[in-house]
Amino acid sequence: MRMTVTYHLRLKDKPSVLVDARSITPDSFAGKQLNGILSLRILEGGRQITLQDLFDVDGPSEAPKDPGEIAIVIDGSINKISFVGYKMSKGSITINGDAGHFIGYRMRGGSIVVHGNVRNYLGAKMRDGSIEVFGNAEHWIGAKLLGEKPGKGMKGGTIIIHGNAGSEIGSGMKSGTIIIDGDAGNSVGNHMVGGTIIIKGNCGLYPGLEMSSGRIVINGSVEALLPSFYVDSLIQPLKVKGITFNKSFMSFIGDALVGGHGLLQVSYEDNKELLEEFRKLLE
Amino acid sequence: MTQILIKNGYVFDPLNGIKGEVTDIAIKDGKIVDPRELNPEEGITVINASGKVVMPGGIDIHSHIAGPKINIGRMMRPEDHYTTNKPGVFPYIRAETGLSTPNVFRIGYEYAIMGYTLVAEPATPPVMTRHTHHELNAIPIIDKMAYVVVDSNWMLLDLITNNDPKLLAAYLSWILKATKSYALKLVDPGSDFAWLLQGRGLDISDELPVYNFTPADIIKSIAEAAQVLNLPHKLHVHCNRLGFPGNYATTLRTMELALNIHRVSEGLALHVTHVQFTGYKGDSWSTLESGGEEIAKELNSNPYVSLDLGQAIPDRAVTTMTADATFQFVLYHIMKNKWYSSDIESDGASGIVPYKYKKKNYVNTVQWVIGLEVALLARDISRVFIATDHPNAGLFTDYPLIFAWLMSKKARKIP
Amino acid sequence: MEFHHLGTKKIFVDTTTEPVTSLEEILRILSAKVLQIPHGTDIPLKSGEKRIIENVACPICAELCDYLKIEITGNRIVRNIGGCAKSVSKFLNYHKDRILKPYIRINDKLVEVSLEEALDKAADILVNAKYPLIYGLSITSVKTDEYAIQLAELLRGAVDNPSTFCHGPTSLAVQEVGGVFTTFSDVINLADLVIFWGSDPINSHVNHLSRNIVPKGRFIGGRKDRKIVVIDIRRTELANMADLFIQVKPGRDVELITALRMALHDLDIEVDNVAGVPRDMVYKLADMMASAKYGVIMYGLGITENGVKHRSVEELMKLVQDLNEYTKFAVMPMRGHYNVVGSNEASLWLTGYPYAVDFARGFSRMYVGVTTAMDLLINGDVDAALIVGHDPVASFPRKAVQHLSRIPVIVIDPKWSLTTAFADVIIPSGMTGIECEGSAYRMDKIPIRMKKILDPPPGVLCDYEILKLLIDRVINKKVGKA
Ligand code: SF4
Ligand SMILES: [Zn+2]
Repeated sequence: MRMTVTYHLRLKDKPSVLVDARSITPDSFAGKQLNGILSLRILEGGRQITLQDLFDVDGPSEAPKDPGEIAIVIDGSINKISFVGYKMSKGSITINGDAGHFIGYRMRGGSIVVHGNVRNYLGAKMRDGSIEVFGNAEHWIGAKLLGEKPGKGMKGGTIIIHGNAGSEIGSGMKSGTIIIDGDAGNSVGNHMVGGTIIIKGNCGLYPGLEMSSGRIVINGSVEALLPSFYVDSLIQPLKVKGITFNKSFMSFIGDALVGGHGLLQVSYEDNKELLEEFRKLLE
Repeated sequence: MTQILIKNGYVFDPLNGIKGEVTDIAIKDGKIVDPRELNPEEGITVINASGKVVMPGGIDIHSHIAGPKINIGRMMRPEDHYTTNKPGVFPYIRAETGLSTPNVFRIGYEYAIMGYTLVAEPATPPVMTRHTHHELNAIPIIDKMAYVVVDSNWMLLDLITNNDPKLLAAYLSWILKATKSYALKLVDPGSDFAWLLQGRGLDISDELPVYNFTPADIIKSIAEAAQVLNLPHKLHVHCNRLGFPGNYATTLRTMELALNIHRVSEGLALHVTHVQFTGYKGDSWSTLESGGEEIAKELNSNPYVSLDLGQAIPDRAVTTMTADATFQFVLYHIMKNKWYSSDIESDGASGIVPYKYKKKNYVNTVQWVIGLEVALLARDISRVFIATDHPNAGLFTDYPLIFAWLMSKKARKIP
Repeated sequence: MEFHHLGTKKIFVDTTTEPVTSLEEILRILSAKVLQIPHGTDIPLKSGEKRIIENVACPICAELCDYLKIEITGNRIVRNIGGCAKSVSKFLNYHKDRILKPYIRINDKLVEVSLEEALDKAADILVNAKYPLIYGLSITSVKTDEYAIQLAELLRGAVDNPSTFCHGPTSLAVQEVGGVFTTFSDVINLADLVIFWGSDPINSHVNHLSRNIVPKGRFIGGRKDRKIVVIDIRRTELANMADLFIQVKPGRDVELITALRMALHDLDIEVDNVAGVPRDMVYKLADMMASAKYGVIMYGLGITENGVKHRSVEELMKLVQDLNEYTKFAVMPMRGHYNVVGSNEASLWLTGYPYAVDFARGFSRMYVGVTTAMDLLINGDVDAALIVGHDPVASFPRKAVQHLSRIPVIVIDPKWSLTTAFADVIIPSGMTGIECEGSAYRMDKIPIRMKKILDPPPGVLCDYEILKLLIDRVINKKVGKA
């Protein structure tokens, strides 16, 4: 049986500037003596400090070689601590508190759980693994970076946000699943070439802008749709990724401007006014 | 007074026929002198170069290192900067970023590391040259200069119409002075004017819209003005029909013009740039062949032209940028990704498109062959310059690869 | 927002969901620090010899009119011929409310000090900061921008300019898809269709119409040969002069852009009405665009700061790219501050990014939402600020201003402003374009020489000279520390 060891990180003083803590991953802990872990490099603003300057660390004196056997628990984190879980491949990170930008950036496996809010670029460019946030998240969840081609966003894995989320969710994503329990902002799933985005609450302007493939499901109201999405059908119930929504949804295909065949499915009941015109088209 | 002695290096100096002799080089107040002229009492900085090559600084005759185009390239390609960084070293070494759209610091440092000391930015529209100089000034270590683009300038086209060579020469001389540029540049002569008015390009003997003369007339008039002005680098020409199959014929005709102009000053009359892009034989991409042999033949028989290669580098992601807006529009349709184009104060236009050369792509392979073929068949290599038209066909940091290809048959074998 | 943005009279010009700070609020926030601006700090005017300087460029908006005739007697500017009302007022009042001496704040009081002392204190603040922000630029020359970026790099801090609020989305759109741009001369000589989309030059760039639209060009007559279309959320003064006015629902411009692209791609538009515009009108407009000889879309904050911001501009860029399959078409962003384009350009050649650049790791990075000044200030992510030639307190949302009041702030500026009321160190600078020379970039990226027509007040340096001194000091202090 595989044993899991846990490292507890307790925040000492709250940093006053953004912190780049990309060394907090099971991968960089793996195989290190506790001393080595304590002296892992952290950037506080533009200054080099070490992990122990920022955190009290409890844990075994030597970490297993396999990052999959390492669990990291961070207590009292605040929204300035960024890049936690950068490129992690295995193991787990639990953050009891808020977290900053780029949590799980380019993540390749393992899991991250945040019991608090996170800021921008959560799980951006991630390849695999899972991220669960119990608070809210800001913009660019699972996104590509600006200037990159469509498809350079999230490539796999799952992101679940139990609160609300901002704009540009899944921009340029290729595969994987993003589920937002609350509301979402504008241009959800823009430039998507694959994967699934589920918004259980309401959503802002123009979901699916320039999407060429993939699926976006919106269970609440939508602020506006682009004319380049063609109505396809009304369906009920809707099943997606093991979730069943027992109400009627209107399906659109788009974005026609990129010759896309992405599937955009919007709750009919919550958007009667907006969708009335399309219902007539279906008849 | 600074005195430097570079000791025991293998010295190469093509002008003086020194080929790898182990000897010392002395420098006094910025000039190379006989080592006996150094005065030991005034202090000499000695550099031990044993086992190393000592040679004159390299000159890159055509590399897009400064000005509005490369800067828009930088803007358009953040993805070229995300993972290509090198932090600065406090306090004087600055941070580097970018491969095909490097920042000014990387340009200066990388050229210096390769032993280059002078680089020419080959295309700056007159009205934008203030910008070009800002960037040139910001590039560390190396010396820089710029060629000013004059082919689609309306005032100049009017002067050609009026057939007043003296006034034309005076105007060009003023442009050079006002823009603090080193040489005159023609980019797809006349085409930017046609692009501006009609969104199309021109071949060398097509008539310009509005004006009743051809690109060949433009080249001839300006080349003759350059003769009158006795410019050190007479005229830098990017040929018409660049990037279109069959364009090697246009290139040959451009080179022939050097024989037909009225020459009143010494030296070469025309420089044809990045011949790889204008050395295409065949009538379509699928029947593409290298026109390198014909171009080399013309070069060997025509003593008044020089050229540079625009060597294509396989498997290299580049950012194509030219004042040839027409060609960039064509390239945009091939790549279907990003495209930037700008018309510039009636002086011309420019375009930028990201591109990647692939080993397995037939067209790219032919492109790779053209540059090498021209260089290997040329008899007078002092008239052949190595360049990649950075960052169009490859990066300037790829030059060592080209040297290897030219010097070794083994290196030319692509695995 | 700045005056020229207010001038567009848009209802939906929201840069943030945060309420903009009112003066009372500022005073309340300031309770820890004393708002104290010395009175009567005009430059004393002396009459004297009369001079007329021609071809002066106007350091106000990105129209950068460079044909002003400025008449001076002694050190008094008496006339500005060619400039618009804003320009006249700026030149004729250049001497008013000037900071004439360096100050530092000691126990809540501004104390006049020597330049040396002020620089020393400023360098101390910056060197002791873990992550300082340098903000402003763009109301100064590119040389100043270059030094400011060098300083940020030395300090491993962040540096941002105001395009972060107005035309930043234009840069982001170019990062994503490129674009098709043009310049004034091409508009004058060729453009037969000019579309003002979410822009209102009558209020924001006063000389723009008389300079670019009215004149006769080489291949086109004047106004009568150009069709003018205005697309806006309300009928502006400009709309009354236009050949066609299209009213679009606030924040919904992307729908119209998309529909136009669909028309060009021969795709069916299923809905009768797009963003408040009838489908027939969409086809009509698309037709008009595609059949123009040389069309230009001059867009403003109505596009960049509305709806989906950079995605709106991205779609606009795609629209002009599509239009080039039919004819010649380009955009022109109606940029605000006179050298905001220059601060983007300098930032690009030095760092590879146009704005919002961070050097925490020793090299440049730009992440929208992370390294942007607004996000850094609202979330309190920086611990010191150097403001060069700007008044963020007058335009930033409350949370950002609150954070500025909590951290040490250095201001380099020619004039007293709300931000100086916060500052711990104030260093006066000469006014670029009047007392200091340099380069600035017009909205269409044409570099323009800014002239020096008067000397700065005694003892006052140009901002680039101050930054250079500050850089030397920062290097010395950091070397000393190490
Ligand atoms: S339009 Fe702008 S640049 Fe021209 S004079 Fe008025 S404020 Fe100055
Ligand atoms: Zn070139």
